[in-house]
Amino acid sequence: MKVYNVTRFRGPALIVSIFLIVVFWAYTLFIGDGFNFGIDFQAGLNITVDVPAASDEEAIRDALDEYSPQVQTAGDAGSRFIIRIADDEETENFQQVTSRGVTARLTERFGNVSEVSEEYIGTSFAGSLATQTIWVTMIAMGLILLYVWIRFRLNYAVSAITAVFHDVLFLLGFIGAFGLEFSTATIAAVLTIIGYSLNDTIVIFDRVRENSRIVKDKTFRDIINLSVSQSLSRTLITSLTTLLAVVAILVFSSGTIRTFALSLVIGVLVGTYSSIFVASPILLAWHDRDVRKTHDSVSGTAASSGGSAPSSSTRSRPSAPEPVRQTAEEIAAATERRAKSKAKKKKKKR
Amino acid sequence: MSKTMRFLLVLLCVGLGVVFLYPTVSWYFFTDSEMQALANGTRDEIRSWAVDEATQALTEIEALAGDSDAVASPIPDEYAFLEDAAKRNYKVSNRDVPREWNLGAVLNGFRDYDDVRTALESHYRQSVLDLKDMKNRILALGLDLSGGLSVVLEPDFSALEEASTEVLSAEDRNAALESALEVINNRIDTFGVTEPQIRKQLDDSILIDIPGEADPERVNSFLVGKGSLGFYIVDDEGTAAIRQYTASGGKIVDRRPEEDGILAEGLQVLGYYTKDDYGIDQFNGWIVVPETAGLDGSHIVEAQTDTDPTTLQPLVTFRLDTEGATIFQQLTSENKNKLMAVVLDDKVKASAAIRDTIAGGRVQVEGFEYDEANDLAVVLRTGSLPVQLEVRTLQSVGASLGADTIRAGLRAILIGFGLVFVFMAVWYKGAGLVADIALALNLFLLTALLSSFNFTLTMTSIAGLILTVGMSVDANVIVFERIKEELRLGKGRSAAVDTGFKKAFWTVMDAQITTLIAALFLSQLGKGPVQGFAITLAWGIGCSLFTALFVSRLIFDIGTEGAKRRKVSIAWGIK
Repeated sequence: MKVYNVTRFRGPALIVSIFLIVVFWAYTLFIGDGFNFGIDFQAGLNITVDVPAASDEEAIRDALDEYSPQVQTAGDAGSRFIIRIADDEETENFQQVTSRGVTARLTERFGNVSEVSEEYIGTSFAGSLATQTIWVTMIAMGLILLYVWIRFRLNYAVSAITAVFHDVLFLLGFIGAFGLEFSTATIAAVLTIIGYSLNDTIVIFDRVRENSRIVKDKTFRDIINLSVSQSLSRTLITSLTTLLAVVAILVFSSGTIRTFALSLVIGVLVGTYSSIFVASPILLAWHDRDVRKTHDSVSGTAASSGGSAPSSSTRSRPSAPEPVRQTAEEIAAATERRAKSKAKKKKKKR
Repeated sequence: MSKTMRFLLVLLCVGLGVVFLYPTVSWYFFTDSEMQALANGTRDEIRSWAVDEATQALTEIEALAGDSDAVASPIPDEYAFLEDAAKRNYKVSNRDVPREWNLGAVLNGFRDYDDVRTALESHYRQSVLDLKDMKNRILALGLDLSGGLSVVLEPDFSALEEASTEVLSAEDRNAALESALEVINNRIDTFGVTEPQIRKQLDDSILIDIPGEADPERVNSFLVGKGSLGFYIVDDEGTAAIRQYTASGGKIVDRRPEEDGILAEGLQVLGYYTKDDYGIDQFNGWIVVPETAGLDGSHIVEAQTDTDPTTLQPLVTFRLDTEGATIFQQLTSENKNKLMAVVLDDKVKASAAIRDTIAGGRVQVEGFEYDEANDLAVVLRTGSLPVQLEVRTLQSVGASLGADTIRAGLRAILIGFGLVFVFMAVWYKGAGLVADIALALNLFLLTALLSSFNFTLTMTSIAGLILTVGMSVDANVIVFERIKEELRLGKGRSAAVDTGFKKAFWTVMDAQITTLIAALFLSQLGKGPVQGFAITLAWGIGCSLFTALFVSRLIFDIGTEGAKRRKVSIAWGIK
């Protein structure tokens, strides 16, 4: 089996990732119009109308001048428009008054107008959704972190979560830079991608953990490369099947769901990329740092002649540490211990 | 667990799936749209339909009864249900049950045709009610798919707080909300639309779903209109003063002029609004009236709409109770030649000069639009809301848009499913087919599960379903890749499958549980679309764990031990 040296690309990958994320966000915040917040986050009215006589968005915008609406063409026929009007928080019964006003103005100008759908989100709801979203996402991430911490170790958990942050930042940056509507569906997409990317990362980490238990004569870097290569076909196939399904939505739907599918496509791609090129290198970097620390502390304790060893790894081999192997062993030992205690529990249950 | 036990467990799941899915399938594929609409209708509609059907059937039966051939031959199939009723009647009246069941014998089982009509009617009614009952056990379509109106109303207790002297307790609020629900129920039923769902949500808001009603305007006026109506005597002096005051740039704040000293205490300024041709409220100037109404709307017993024979304008006739009639008589006799204003929700809707004493408690008012007059009549009939409700969110979807969405969604599912299906079979050969079986079973179990708790399918939950299709094969992919590795190490079928599943188990679990955590949290977020997506995803993960780990393992084991296969057909390179 061919082992790909993926960790070699960690430098370039880091640069590309940071570059793209910075460009997307900078464009969104400083050059573009910021996030295109949908009705879910901005109190207001969304009306979809069929106006056969209207030539383009500009005509609609002109007719509804007094409401300063956002107008968007929808569907293929070219006569369906989505009109968005923000709640000015002054008009009483905003929804009724505006809805009626819009229909009246359009009828006045274009004659035949039929309303296809209407959506209104009040001020109180729009605000609460935004804060609710942030909280829920944070708590979910926290719990996932905790789960991975318990099942693996803290450095695995942190690496995985960092990769997830990378994906979320990238996805949001993409959505902002390309002016995709930011709606509840976007949150759904982001959270799905969080789950998906973690899923990907964890399958690889699971392999790393297993390999570091079995393979004793290799450096941690090699173990990571080996694990990524071993899981590579699975990673690609799962991404492919998921993409097949998501692209089907992208092609055969319209409106919010289409944006949702597009976000998912981007998310799946970047999630796959990050689990290979972001999460594992971070794990390696963390490991290297630990190694260096251990090294320093070892030489430190040697100099002060004795004194209690600061960590378990130095205690087992106080003289000449072979940090790479040790940490791998340590992981193995920890896993074994857990496996044993689990086996005990199982026996007890029986 | 032995293989037989495992097989039986899978069969049990499939059996349960069929049971859960049966109502959904028979509703969407074997119930005609007319009956579906009827089952969605209100009880009133169902009753009148049953009566109509029974009358029609009875006419036909009576015609048959006049024909001696028909009497001697068996009862037509569509009325065969009468036989059971007749049998019961024979037994109840202790008569001999006839040996041969022809039309005559059946009809003899009834006292008279009225009796037959009752039996027919109850049968027809029951058939719709059964359908209605079945509707509660199917995979329902959300409003974005079926078309309809969904409104979330938020109560505003501030008016109620002002009115009461004490601080409102939670119970008071609850009671007010409950009666608001009651009022809304009444109003919507009177409105005669398809049966709405009205629910109080956890945060005290009220959710109203009305399938098939796409015009947000009409229903809105019912829901939000407080219906506080009163008759006021217009204060001419004050009105003149305010006209002058506003003409010179004065402003009206909170129903009083901004500056003190313009208007005497105890008076308030209200806007006079009329509807223009597009039905928008048009401001027509200020009118000054006392703060308390000359006659409160609570004395109105009934409101009816008519058309004035001379002007052809809509006309609302209020009938007052005895006390109201006395008050009104006194009011009109004391204020002859003054203006009277009809005020609805703090807006002057109509004003007219009082020419004569109005006795007898009947008041006719012009100045409403026809729809508005009708709505007003209903609002007054059903009483006013105890709390003010504000629209928090509203969604209305035309039925055609919904149908388009379903078509697109179904197509996306089928194509996505097909692509994944073909890919797996091509890539993993025989094992791919096992994964395909697991995938098909997964979708089947998932829809069955969702139908079993009357889940509402929305656009986003279809997306969740599609995503499940893509992701559920993941578990199988992980396992298969492991099996492949074991095979490369030279293990035999049974050993490779065994180790493959064993080693992949925790990988799969870890991977899916993290997604599950995200999905479970997602389901707590928001109330509508995202929740649907998350619930589908969460259950999808559960189902895919079962099918990918349990069912496909079973298929492999059966292949190994049952069919005595030695090799695994899992990839093109490995034999």
